[in-house]
Amino acid sequence: MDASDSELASLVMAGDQRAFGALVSRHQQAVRGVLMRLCRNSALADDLAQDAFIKAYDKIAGYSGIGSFKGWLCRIAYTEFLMHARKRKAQDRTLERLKAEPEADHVPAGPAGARVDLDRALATLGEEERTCVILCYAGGMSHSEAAETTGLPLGTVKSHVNRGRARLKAWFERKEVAA
Amino acid sequence: MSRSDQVDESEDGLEFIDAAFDAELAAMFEAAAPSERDPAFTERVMARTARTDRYRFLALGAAGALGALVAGSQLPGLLDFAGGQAGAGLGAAADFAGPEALVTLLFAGLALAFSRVLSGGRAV
Repeated sequence: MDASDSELASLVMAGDQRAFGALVSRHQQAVRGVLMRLCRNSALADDLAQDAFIKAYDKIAGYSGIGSFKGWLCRIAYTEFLMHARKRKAQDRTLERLKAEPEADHVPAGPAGARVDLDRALATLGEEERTCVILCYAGGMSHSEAAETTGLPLGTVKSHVNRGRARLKAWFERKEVAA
Repeated sequence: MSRSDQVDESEDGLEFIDAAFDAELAAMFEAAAPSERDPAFTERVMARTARTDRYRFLALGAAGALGALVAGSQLPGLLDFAGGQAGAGLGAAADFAGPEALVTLLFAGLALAFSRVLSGGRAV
């Protein structure tokens, strides 16, 4: 289906389930990618991604058509992640654990070594930096969309992304030297 | 600073972006992303949306039917009044089916329409 996201969203509102299937198919990679980097657990990320899509389906009338549909979806996914993290009160403990050693992940997604390195590098960032970098790089969000999603000022998001990127670069350079 | 460096404005002044590393980082995220368009994932989501729609429709329908029964039982005199006021046709229908049954049917229809609207008119 070559229809735009807005057209598909309108079709979903009119009761066309296949249109929603097309939207899921089109944006699942970004949503799952963001959640996978945030959760560092494929199974949990997929569960949260499903929940996010169900929520998007229920609230599809809330999509105004202003801004990208992917950004809107990623916002819902990020909220799902936060709710999950709060519910389990484990976000800080998980981050500490992740900093120590990356979790073995049974679902292959790209070259395993590179993925583990990226997750290790991300775990060294501050929470807000990490979130902003993930939303912009894994979710393909603009700085403005990331600012809207996180509730942070636009300038702060830009700073977090710039500093996060610089820290990641330093991390990979150190790793290269050590190797 | 390499030639690929670019300048980006941020709230705390000008910051330099290493475009080469920016592209490298984007490629790393791309490589670490889940496989593109996993049909199994889409099927799981679609199965859940169908289930959600069905439950919502059934729940609203059941609530509406219950409300209709209660309303029907509480308004036995409504059609008698309507029969007296509105004419012989309605009165005859009331005589034929009974006032409670007609009121129940009326409210059930309204409840069904209400649940249809609340479920967004989606196919169940």
